[in-house]
Amino acid sequence: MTSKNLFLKLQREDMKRRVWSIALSMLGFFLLFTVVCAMEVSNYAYRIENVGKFDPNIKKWIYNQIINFIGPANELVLMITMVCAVICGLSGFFYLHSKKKVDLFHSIPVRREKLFAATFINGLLIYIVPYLINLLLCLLILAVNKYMTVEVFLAGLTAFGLNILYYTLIYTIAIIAVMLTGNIVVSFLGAGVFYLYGSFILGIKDLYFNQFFSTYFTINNTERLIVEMSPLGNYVSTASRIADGYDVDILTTIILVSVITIALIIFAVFLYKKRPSEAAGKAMAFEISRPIIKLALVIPLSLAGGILFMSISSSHDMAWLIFGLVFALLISYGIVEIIYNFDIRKAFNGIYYLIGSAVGVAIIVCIFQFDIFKYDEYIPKKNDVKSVSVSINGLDGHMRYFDLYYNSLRSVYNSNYEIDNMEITNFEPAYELAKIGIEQVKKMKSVTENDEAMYMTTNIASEANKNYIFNVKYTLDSGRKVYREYTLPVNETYDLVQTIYNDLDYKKVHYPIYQWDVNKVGEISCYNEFEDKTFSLSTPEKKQLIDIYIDELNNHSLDDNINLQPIATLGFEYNKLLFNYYVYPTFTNTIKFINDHGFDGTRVVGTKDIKEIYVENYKITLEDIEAEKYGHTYAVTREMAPKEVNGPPMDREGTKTYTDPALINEIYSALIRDDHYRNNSIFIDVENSIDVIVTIKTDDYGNFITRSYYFKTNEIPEFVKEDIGYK
Amino acid sequence: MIEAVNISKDFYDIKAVDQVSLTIQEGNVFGLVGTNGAGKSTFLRMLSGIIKPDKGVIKIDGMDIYENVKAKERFFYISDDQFYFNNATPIDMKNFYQVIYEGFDGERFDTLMEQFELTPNRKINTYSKGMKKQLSVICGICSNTKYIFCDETFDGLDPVMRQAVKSIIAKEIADRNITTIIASHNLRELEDICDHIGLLHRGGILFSKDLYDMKLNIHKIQCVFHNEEDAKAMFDNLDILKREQRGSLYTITARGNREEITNYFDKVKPVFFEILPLTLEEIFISETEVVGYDIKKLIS
Repeated sequence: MTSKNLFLKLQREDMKRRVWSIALSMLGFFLLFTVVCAMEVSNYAYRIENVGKFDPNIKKWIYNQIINFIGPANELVLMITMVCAVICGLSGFFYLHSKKKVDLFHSIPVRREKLFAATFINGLLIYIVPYLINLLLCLLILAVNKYMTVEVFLAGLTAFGLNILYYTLIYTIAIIAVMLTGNIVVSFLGAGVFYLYGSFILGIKDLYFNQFFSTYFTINNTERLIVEMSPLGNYVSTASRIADGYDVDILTTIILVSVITIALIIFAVFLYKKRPSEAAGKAMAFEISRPIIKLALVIPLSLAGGILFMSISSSHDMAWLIFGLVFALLISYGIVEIIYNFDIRKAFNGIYYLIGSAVGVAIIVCIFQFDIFKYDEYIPKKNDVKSVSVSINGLDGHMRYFDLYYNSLRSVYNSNYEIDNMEITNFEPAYELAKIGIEQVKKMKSVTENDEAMYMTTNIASEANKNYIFNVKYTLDSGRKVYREYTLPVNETYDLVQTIYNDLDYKKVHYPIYQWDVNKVGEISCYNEFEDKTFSLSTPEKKQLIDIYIDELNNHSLDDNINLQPIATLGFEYNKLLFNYYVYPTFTNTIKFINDHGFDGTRVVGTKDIKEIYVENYKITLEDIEAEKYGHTYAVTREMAPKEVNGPPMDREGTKTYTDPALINEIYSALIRDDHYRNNSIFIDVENSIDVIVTIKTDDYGNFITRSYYFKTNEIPEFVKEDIGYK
Repeated sequence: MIEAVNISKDFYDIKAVDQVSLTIQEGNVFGLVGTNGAGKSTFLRMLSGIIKPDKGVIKIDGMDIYENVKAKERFFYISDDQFYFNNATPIDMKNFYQVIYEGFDGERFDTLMEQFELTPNRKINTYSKGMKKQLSVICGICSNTKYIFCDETFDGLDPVMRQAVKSIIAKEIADRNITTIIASHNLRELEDICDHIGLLHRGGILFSKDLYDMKLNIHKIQCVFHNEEDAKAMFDNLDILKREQRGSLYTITARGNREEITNYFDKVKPVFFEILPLTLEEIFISETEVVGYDIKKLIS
């Protein structure tokens, strides 16, 4: 018999025994894919008939829905893929767990590779064939209903390829779990461990770094990495990334996953060849893997137990950490040994491994507790640094950033965006800031626990010693990236921050407008207290405005940014998202441009525009409310205040409304806009226990708006202090 | 020819097979006897290439067996609890084995199924233990391989079926000169079919001998002598393994050529002597006692 014939016949025989898997797969796809598709299509017809009259975009919406359904974003197909992969992977090779079955399969004159290939390929076909049939049915349904387009077809094809790739990955991992074990239950557990282990380890690492190192910076992709370290998480993440829009990295991901899948298939074949038949029925198939897997499970689980108990205890006490470590060590070790031996009496078998695990855990915890490798004090040598990226928390809080990774569709924290994309080559100021940060850490560590509390209180409470978070990424010549986060005092570092702010390398990323493609810029509008206008601009005009704005931003200093209050806000629609950029009084060319296009950028709020100013001393009004409610007062913060406090002005002690233009003039000159303060709160000092609401007349017809303001620190007029009982 | 040289297999701290060397000639029916746990199944599983010996070499017709398709094509292994696919019928198994063994004789399969009155369309999981055993032997026979390895194949068969199965194997040996290895803990089951016996005990082989040679070389004689001197002279010159006396009647088990023993008795001229047939068990009792074992503890 030719080898090919034998292989096909083996496949056929194997298929006969897996009819239930085929039926399950076919049923799953038919119900959750084809039937749902048919239902959706009938819903679309209904919508067109009923909603289409009022909504001209209904067809566009329907096509989006179809692409989402047929394409990689279909969560039902992801679910079928995962379930099918696990079932086929485990069931296809379960015969290895039965002595009877192994005796049959391994005594017959068929090479193990051939047996493996026949079963393996059948496992793929059990998924692929029903998927393909149902995909074709769906496409047919769409074509018959005239929803078929090239885009829809390509989305279906992309999803088909992607789902097969990840099916193969998840399926192969399940097979490896079967190869390494000799029992069905242990195989399930093993597969679970393989699917989650990477994420688990990364999660533990992140928790420990966060807990023990003051300068640890959770880089933006940590969360994503934690998810993507799991093949299942990686699958969902990649599918949603593709669904959101293609990006450059997706190809890398696909190539990487393909390579890993191929490597895992080769590894599975290797294991199959090496797997001793006598392993059937035992917990672990390979003796050599027993201690490795035991330690690889027990140590991280113990560490997880330690950090869990430490986190639960509000005191974050070391004693709870130690309790958690010991408890989790004993429990996890016991469970692993019970599984290995199928005997509860052998829970603490192999005491040397238990001791070894305990020593391993102790060493790891000591490394963190005593910062053995001086993580917090590490700074790369200047000569090795190629560039730095920085993020200054509390500067331009209004800026919005979108992850380039996701084709600018997902919002990210400013620190993450800046750290990822910035490259400052003149890194001296950032380097100096890092040094100051390290000194701060040393100071913190040198004080005793009691002193620490005092130190923290002093630093946090005092406005003069305001701190901010400074994130830095060093990109070294070797390509290595070092991330750190420092808490820096404003007063000691302002000049260095100013230097960084003035660096164009910083601004180009800090203000994403520098990177914009003018073709993606939609509507541009401008608004202030008096006007809200959407410009009608051609693309060259849009480019002109952006160029002018960038040019003026180049010369905009940190001092300007903090001390000058914006006179208007430019709203840019970019990539279907809205971005606000302030127009400062120094931006003369920008003001001229907007003036030329019908927006009066010269009109700013003056005393004559103000109808009244309401001032409220929160320290008093909150005490009143508490006293009324409970008969005594607490140290109440504004956030704790009952809702009515934030409502319209009330005539009670601690509040005052001013209408006299002279007083208004004096008050207004000491005010700073609420949003301006909040956007730069680290660098602007205000008296935030006093709320100021300014009523501004917007026209001569009696219309007005209200704006919140704060008094600049030490600039509260004396009469106001008296009126509101400010001490 | 099957040749095992110093093969050993450990399962953790248990020595399942320990330094076993055996040679099984073609056309032999080799009986592998020993108690449960003696290592018979492990030996057969190594012989079938299912498990790999930790030490030693095991060859079939000069070829290594483990992961060698050419070698595996030459035998059919019938395990003590043969696996049949879920919901499979004998027809399904026939189809499967036809894929695996090129020479599988489908017609013979149908004939034997009929002969054993087994329903080919009935699900095997509804078969009795004995019927499953019969089916496994039928599959093995029809595979047309040169060697058949049977692990406790007669266990669970009623005497009539046992005889029927034995007769098929015997016919196959006569027709195709196949070599069969039958592992059993029951010596009596092997008596009328084996021509070579290997005795396994605690993983090691106590001995391996040709049954015919054994029968030729051990004899049970009942005799009565004229006087004690004649008896003494007789016994001094014979290789006696066992001697019993009841009155003047001696029953002795002696090693040696039947002709020589007869000639010797003729010379002494006893009152009466007769050479009686020995059962396999008796031969084993004698042989194992010689090497210091109590056969009743080694086999059932």
